[in-house]
Amino acid sequence: MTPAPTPEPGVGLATVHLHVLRNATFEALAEHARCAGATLRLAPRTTFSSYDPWLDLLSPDGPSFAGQSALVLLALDALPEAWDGDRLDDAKALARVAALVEAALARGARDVLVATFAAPIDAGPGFCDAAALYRLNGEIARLAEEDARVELIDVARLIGRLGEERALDARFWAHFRAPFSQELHAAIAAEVCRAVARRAGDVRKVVVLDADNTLWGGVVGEDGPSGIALSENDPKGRPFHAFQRQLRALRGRGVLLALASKNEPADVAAALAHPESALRAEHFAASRVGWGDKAESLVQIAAELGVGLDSLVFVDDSAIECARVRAALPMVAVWQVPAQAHRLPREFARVPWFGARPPTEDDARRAADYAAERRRATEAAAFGDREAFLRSLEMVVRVWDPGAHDLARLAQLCQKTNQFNLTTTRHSAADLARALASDDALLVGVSSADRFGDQGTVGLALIERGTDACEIRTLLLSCRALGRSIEQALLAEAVRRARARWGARPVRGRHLPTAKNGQTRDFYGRAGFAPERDSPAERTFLLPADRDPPCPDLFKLERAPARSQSETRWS
Amino acid sequence: MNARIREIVAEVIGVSQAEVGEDASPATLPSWDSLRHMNLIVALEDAFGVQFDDDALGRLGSVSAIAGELARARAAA
Repeated sequence: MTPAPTPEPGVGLATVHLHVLRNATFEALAEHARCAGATLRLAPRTTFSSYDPWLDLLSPDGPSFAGQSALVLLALDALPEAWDGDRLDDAKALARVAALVEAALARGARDVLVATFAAPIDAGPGFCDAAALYRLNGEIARLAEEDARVELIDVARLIGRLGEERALDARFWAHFRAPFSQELHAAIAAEVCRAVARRAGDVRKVVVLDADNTLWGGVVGEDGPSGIALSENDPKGRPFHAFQRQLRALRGRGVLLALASKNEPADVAAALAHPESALRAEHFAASRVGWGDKAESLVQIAAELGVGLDSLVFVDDSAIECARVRAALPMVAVWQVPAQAHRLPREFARVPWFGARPPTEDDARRAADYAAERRRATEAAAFGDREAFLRSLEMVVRVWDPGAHDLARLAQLCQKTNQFNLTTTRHSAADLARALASDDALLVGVSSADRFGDQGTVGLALIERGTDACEIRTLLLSCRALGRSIEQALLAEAVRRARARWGARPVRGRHLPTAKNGQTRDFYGRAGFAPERDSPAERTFLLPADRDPPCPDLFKLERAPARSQSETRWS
Repeated sequence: MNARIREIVAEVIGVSQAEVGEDASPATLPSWDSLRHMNLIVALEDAFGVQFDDDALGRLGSVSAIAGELARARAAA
């Protein structure tokens, strides 16, 4: 089972009254519904009919259901009139169910949740009237499809998911006429609460998606559009392909898709043009691809699409982005992509925010309309404080002197890092070993950790003594560590160490533009370096000998002479 | 063991531990109804890692009876 999301703070629980029309003991549902409801901001109060609900309902002075939800949940075992020997009389059973549904609606129930049947615990050996059972469940599903007030709770499917051994409880059936296990009660309660929440209006209209490791496996800015995993024919890509198809189907049901990705726009466009991508750029009704804060992107997307923030579901693989959005925008539903990709489509299938009702023509058109009328929204100021958020991560950034055993990881970073890489020089391990041995070169490594875990070694700088000034030959930071001001600490600390070794000299930085490293264009300028030379192939900047680059105080900075032993596992 | 049983009975039946004496039973505690009795079985089986057999389910009517059945179930396990 996936852990339930924590209820959002500051949002009250909505009381719902659930009345169960039943012919067996299902009382355990009350407590499970209370637990399942809390995660959906619902406080279900559950009551139960007598064991003969038809009598309750059909009598003129029977109960009223005004404003309540009615759950029709029956055990075939306890429906003797539906059996003729071991043949199931599905027409008779359906008539019993339909009578309850109609009576509940006639007595003012806001909606009726109707459960499917499974083979009874007491079915005879080698026989269960499968044809009649499937006909019965098919007709029940049709009741739900044909009446917007009726929703299907597919108990038979839940039993299939758990397996009969776990789902049914012969002992409690024998002793208490309680056929379902605790586990099945919990699964039914969760489905019921989701249905009630949707019907009470918690339906989300927009899915805002991260790109890397969400829509496809890998990082397009690093691996390139041909290196990412999204093909149906690639074991690593298959879950992402399935997820993309789920999203396309949601879009077909009128749910809007939007992109919020920290990437170069050209990279994302190339990935969406991948021949095997199920999603194309035109499937997204709004898109924010760049280096801005994601909470801010969500505010902009909601404004652009003309929906409230409480209509958004945000999907991202990063625990940090998810926490950031939860903290800044509590009304946005947040769903983190499972770490194991194969779980992605299965777990996404169980999110509570989208109705089962088939799309109307209007729904399908709505998605297209938004894409056609795409418009720029005004900047909203309702996003949270980025600095406070970064502080809440309790980051520890460690800057250290590499040793021989670090060179493989550092060389790998030099080969792979494209986005935050000032010069994109592909140093090999042998190159770095020469630098390490030289008196005229200084190599600095940086690693980071926060309360969500260790990022390990995430960047490096290589500085040479130079002639008129120290020269920063390489400065890079892994895309996993972007947007957290770690690069500023790396620069400040690298400059400090260079001056400690070679005296208070000016420091020169250079930016060699590539298709990927646009975000680093003004890095040195922002750090107090003065522009020196500017050509299309190279820009250089000079930091005067009496100036230090600013070092952010958003995290604890540890200066270590060497990477500690305990960090070996990081790489 | 009896102290732990009383603790579980009190929690599941919804009374204070002081009200659960050795002879506490569905007859002395009105809230000890058949539904809470089901929950009590589940809670006891979870807490003590046993499964009562069918006959035992009908004999769990007091704290001392529960203690006896638990001892029997553990010996059988």
